[in-house]
Amino acid sequence: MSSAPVLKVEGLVTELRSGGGSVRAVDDVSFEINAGETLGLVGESGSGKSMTCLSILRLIPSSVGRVTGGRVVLEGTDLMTLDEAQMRHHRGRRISIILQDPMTSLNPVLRIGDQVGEAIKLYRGLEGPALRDAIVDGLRAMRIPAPEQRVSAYPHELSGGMRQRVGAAIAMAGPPAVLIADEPTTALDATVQSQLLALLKDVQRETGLAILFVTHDFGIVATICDRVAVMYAGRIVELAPVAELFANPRHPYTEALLRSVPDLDVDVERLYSIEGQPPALDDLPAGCSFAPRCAYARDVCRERGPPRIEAGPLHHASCWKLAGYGD
Amino acid sequence: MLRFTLSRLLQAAVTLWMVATIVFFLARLTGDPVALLAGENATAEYEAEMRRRFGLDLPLWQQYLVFLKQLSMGDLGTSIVSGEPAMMQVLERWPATLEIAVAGVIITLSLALPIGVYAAANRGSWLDTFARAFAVLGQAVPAFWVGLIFILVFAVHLGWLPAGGRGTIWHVILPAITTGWFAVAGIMRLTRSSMLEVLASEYVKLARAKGLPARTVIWKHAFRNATIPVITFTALVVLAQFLTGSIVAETVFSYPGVGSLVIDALRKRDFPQLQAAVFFLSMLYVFVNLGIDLVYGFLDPRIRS
Repeated sequence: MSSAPVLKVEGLVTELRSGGGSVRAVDDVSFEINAGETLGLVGESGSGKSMTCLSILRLIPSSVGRVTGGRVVLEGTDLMTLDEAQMRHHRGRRISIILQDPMTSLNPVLRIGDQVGEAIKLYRGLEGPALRDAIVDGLRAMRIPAPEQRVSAYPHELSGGMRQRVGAAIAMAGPPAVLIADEPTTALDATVQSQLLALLKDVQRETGLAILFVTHDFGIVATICDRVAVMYAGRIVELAPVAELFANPRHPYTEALLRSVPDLDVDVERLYSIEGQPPALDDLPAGCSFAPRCAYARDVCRERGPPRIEAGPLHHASCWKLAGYGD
Repeated sequence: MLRFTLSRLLQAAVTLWMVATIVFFLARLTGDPVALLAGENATAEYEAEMRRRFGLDLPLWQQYLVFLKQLSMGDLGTSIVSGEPAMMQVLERWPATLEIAVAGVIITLSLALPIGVYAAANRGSWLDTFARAFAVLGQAVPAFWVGLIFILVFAVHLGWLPAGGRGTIWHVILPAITTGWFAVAGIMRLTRSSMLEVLASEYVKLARAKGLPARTVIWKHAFRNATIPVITFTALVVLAQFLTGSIVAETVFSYPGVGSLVIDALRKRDFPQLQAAVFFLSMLYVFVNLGIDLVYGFLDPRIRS
């Protein structure tokens, strides 16, 4: 394992078209992932998690928006400086993605073998029987039973869990250095979910894969992640090693998120939930985006954006409270 | 599958019976054919004799029963005007209609599909804008007018193509484009919107994330999915419309197909001829419908199983 991070995202900004103007769906996002490491990316729906993933892959349709700033350095190459053909060479091959919904992410009219095979053929140049063997091996590596038969199946003939394994087989065809898992278990039931997580962990142990794992489930974060970044309104508000974040959350939003995870051992009258709604991106408050919902907010929070505070080794959070409200 | 097929066949039979009934009664609302055939100076005896010969002297409900009885045996009667079996006339003229239909579908699809796909893949480009404007124009302008303009431009002024009649492949072109003009616009729009929907899908997102070239993403992953609604429309509206509704083009270009036969029979109140022609066209329509379901199964494996 090299000491340099496999994936380094610096100051990533993605603007989406909105009415006449534009909104920042990803705002100055920075993080690193090392080989063999899993970074969790958590936040509510609309906080910019998926947009961050698509921005890294440069897959935001031009009609929707575009990346306007920052660097995405994959194994020493800044993806943002590449032309489309060069970028295509990295997609799937060195950095791949598993999408959220296995029911819609496979092409309904193409056979499983074809969908896995076209990736393997593209990355490794295999043809004929060698390609067929590689497809079967790829499916078997993702613990798909009877892979020889599955090759000629269509997606609708498989269960959700099996389809997501096919998605994993496609994602691992490179094999890539970085895997982006965009809520891959959200649509699955609990048993299937834990099987898939175990599978990804094993694959990571064998290959030294770096994983960016997007989720809103802290249970999954605890299971699979080494470090975790918390996103709110397009920004990373706190980033820390998992144990540290659970034990010592510094940002009020993280604190509130953790409080809203129900504890099965404690009986409560009402489950905790954060007051208010996440802000609309085209109507962000001045200052800290979380201020309107924050119990600790003071005047300065509503006026100026919060500074980033180093809260410990590998732990930082952006909050005026941690900065003593600027006094 | 067998159950499905049988139930569809039964539906088809009911549809055809309803069509036959409607045509039978509607035709008789147009007036008395004998008055046209016999001429103004005919004697009452002569007219009565003709009525008896064609079975028009019976009460309407009896005429209907006779008609149904013959129909159930596959007999669509004899033309009042020509005295020949009505179905024979239809079958004689059918190849001419088929020519226009096939040429029309080919011209339509070879224009509409590529333009629709290109417009969707390059949303907002000049071709997209042009294509949409063209689509509105195509759907706003009536076919008979397009046909007349084509005759004026290509036959009269330029002299490139014949103004009417049947014979060579050149005779087919103008009627085919006239029939297809409207459909090009529709299919293009449908292809475009269907492609846009598919291009926004998760599996297309994944195909892009795999690093596949744009060409592969569009034609292999998107196009086949996008054609499913297009096929329905093409088959139901276009193919059926071409096969059955070449009435306008055949009339404008004096093309001797089933469409112009319908108009002819209507004009002369040739009931058996009209019934045979309309029944034949309806039958085609119903069978095209049945065929679509099979094509669907081929395109979409989810329907097959």
